[in-house]
Amino acid sequence: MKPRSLSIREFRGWRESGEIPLDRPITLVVGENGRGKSSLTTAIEWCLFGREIESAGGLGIDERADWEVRPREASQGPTEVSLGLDAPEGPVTVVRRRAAHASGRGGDEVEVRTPSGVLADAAALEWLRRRMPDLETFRRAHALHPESVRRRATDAADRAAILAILLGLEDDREARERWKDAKALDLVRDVDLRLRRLEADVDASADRPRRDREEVEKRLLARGLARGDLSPERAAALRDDLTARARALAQRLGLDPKLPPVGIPDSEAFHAWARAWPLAARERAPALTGLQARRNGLSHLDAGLAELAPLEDGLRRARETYEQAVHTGGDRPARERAIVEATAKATQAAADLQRASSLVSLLEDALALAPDVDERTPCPVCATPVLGLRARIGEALAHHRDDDVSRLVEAKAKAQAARQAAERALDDLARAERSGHAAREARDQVQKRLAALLPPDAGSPGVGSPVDGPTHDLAAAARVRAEVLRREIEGLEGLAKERDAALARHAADHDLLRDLEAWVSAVARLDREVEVTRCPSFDRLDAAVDAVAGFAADVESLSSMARDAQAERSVARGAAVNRTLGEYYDAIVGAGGRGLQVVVHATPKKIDYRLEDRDGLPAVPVLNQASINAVSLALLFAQAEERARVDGLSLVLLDDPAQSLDAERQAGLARAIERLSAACSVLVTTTPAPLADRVRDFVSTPRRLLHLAPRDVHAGARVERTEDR
Amino acid sequence: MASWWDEMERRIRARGVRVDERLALLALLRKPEPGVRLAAETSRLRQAVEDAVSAVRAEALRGETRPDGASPGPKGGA
Repeated sequence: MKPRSLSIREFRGWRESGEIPLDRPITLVVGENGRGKSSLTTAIEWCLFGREIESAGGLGIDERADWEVRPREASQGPTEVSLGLDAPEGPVTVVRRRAAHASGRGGDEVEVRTPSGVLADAAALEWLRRRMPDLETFRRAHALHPESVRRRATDAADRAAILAILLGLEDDREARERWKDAKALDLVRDVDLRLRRLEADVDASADRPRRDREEVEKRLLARGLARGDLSPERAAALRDDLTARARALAQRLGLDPKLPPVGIPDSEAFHAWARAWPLAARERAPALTGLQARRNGLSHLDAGLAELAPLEDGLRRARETYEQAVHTGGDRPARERAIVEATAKATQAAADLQRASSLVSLLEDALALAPDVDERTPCPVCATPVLGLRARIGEALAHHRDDDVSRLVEAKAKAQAARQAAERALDDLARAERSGHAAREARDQVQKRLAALLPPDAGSPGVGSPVDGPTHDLAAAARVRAEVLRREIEGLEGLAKERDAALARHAADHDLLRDLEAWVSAVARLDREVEVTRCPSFDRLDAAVDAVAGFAADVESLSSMARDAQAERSVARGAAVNRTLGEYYDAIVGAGGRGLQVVVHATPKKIDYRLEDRDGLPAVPVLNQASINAVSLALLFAQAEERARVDGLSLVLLDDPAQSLDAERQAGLARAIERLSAACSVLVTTTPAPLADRVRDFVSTPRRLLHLAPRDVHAGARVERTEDR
Repeated sequence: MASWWDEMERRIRARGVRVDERLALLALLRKPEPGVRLAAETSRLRQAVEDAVSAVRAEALRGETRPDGASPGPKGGA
């Protein structure tokens, strides 16, 4: 497969190239700096590999780190490169297209136009994958860039890969790299380490029963057991004792604890029960469920009785005060009658005083009207002449005013005081009654609370006089009830103490039992030899280790076979490769060169390739820049020939290959290109230099020279003139 | 490329040792992403050993042996 034509749109220095023919064995692109030579070769790579070449990693060119595909003055149209190829199935065109503002991360549009139809996107990429080498191989065997020309000769890894390609051993080399990736030796070392750890663990475990026995023995002896007590029989007896005592306690507590049967061999189940039993006995014993309720009842009864006593005293004192008041001042009706009587007397006294006061007033009026002479004066009432009327009126007035009125005023005051006293007496009695009521009400409240704490038939508060006491023996009943509760509580607390003691002993004995069983187990393990090979899973381990060993041996064997094959091929291909490589190198450097050859150095572990001169010395370390470039070119040309032979891709891109080469070596390079063009289509870019002249004038292969015009900012790079030779 | 694989297969068969296993390994290398496949295979083998080692260790520490009468048992009384 070889190139036929190229068309570039909005790529780097090119805006619109039109169709550029590439159908001659040699195409020489000639132009001064900045006319788009490198962009032209790069456009071909971009068409084939897309975004892969746009970074420093893709082609190994550091300058690509911040590379821009589109020209800054580009139109809104897409970037597009079309590469015409002559493929086995006929003319094919590969087109890669990227929209104006796309970055290529989402994938460019790719299309392959074949005689049988157009493949797009995934199908087009698959066609490229099958027909084209990967970018790494392309970089090593089909393209030369001025930025990376030295690496081909000086980078050890690159050189090794290139020499392997040259010798046709690329597959061997790749396979060996993959086997290295398998890290079979790491796997074997890892497995070996695990097996040694297993062995150490098992060895350590053999000594563990002895340490366990010693530790547990110390504890058991400290608890008072004699050495003679340390036996499985003692452990069994202790386990039975634990069960029997638990059963007895369960009966006392009314529990059904689902005790394990005596002498059970299932140690796990037994210990699970022994751990759970104290909790069940503490929290769920029916016999003790009323203890707290009784404690609460007794507490309330005691509090009620303590509260009741002073209330009863208060009620009794209120009753005595009331009775004393009745005794001394009469009961309520008597006092009410006394008030009525005192009120009547006071009313009478007031009326009497009123009448006396009216008489005095009348006499005073009469005295004022009587003449102030001692003669007969007609009585103003009966008109009978009366001697000394004024004096007589004065006497009557003095009598009534000084005697009757004063007496009546005093009588009225006394009557009023008597009435007030009677009213106070009634108020006093009312207060005594209220006090009695309050005392009784307080007492009744406490009695009700007490009654609620008593059984239904223990009595209830009775009904009495306003200040009377209860007619029943509620307090006595409460005291009796409290006494009953006290005795019951005593009994239950005794049972709880008994339970707690039993559970404490249970816990201590259970600890003892566990130690004793640990001792029995340690002794039993002491009597066994740990043999890994007798473990049930040993066969599985054996098989897994065998599989690892087999895998590692297989990897090593295949690696060894590949190495052998590689060595044999190296020998078989070595002479031919060296002839090709040497001829290219000699062609470029001329007769003064020291020669160049690949020498295979095979060791039992690996195969190494070195570039040596005719004297068998390392070729690269003593070379100058021009010779290193010559080595790089010779390696590239030899590889390109090999790739064209193996994979059929007949294409070499040489971007400014004449750098650092003088006119003589450029003439040699032209000869080398002429030879290469017999196997490959060669696209060379160069400034107007001796190389261009040599290719144009002294090469016999059909060739085409494309002269690039000075770059126009708006039109971009363009072919100014085509010259076919 | 095909000739290289054929050559390797010929050498495996000529060696006559673990032929099936080595052909299987060769086939594995021939599939896409052989590095990933090899890593998965080594990981599987390593895990199988690790599991078996754990099982044997636990059994050995418990003194557990095959129930086929092969248990060594007590060596001569407590």
